[in-house]
Amino acid sequence: MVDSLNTSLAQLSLSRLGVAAAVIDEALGLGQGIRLGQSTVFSSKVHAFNSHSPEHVKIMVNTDAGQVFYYRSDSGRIGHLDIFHECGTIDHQVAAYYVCSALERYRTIAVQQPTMMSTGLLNPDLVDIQTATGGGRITGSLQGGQKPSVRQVHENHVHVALQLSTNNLVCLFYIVAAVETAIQDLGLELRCNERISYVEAADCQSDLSPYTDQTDSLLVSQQLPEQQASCHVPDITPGSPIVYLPE
Amino acid sequence: MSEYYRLIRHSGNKNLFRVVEMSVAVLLPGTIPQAHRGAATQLAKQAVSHWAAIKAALKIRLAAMLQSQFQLSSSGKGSSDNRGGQGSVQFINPLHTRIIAPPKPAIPLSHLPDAQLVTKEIKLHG
Repeated sequence: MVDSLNTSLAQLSLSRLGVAAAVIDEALGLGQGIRLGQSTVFSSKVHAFNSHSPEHVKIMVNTDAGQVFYYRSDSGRIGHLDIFHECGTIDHQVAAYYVCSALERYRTIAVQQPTMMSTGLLNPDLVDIQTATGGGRITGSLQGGQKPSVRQVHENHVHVALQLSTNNLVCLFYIVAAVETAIQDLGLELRCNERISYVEAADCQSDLSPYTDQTDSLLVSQQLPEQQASCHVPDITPGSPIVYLPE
Repeated sequence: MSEYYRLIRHSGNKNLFRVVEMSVAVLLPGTIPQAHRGAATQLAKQAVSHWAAIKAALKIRLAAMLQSQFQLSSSGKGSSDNRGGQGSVQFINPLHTRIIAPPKPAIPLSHLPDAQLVTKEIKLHG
């Protein structure tokens, strides 16, 4: 693990994160979004922003990230993180490596906790990433998300989607810290989310073709990862759309 | 093309008007930035630089806003706010707009005190 990531994660002891994870759990239950740190917006919904005010994220309350991104039939099972930074290209392979390293570190720490044991762990196969250089499953080939429109919309944020369960919310802080460290190590500045608001979309799926591309994600269905070795490569929506919404 | 004063202002374009007028204002003789530009002191030069930075930021915002406005159909209506608007969302092709970043730098999560690890915003929408 790189030193900078090691240093960041050392600041996030599990004893610090329990209360914060409970706040996230409550927000998810209410269908709300929440800000993690200063740079990140998290929810189980689709996020959008006006192109001229990216510091204001709009959570589309009548959408479900799993249904829109991955055509899933269930709801509330996919978590959606957007981590904002100054415009530039974040190498998605580097960011994915940092996230994998952070989850491995979390696993090492968590299994040593008598109260946690094997609960609260997140399978890294169930985490996807997208940046301005590409994306896909963090444990996969990372050859997806190459469509120019998909890459361009991620010039100001890193998108992460993952399978949620109520006992793995502490992992979110490790993922955010990993992506933030990757952003800084690649020479870009983290940027603040300043406002979260809620909007409804009449038809979220129909106009999202510029935001779709091929992926090797295992979040597409509810099958177990080992059953998906021959999964076809579907089109998904790996990002947060830019919208026009009157203020 | 309509004359500027005849353009109709409404809640959907008020920010556009604001940015256009601020951009025009900094170009007018006699305004604060112009006065700074005429001074020869180092202080004035710094002020000009400051205003130039503001002008550049406004220009970027204006460009992004104009691009997003041109994606609209003329019949677009409806409202949305933090009480929950209905149905006026229009997705924009990223290739037809300019991506800008949030303006304020952020402190990394790992450097924040416990109380700032998560921040909720009250949902007024019922």
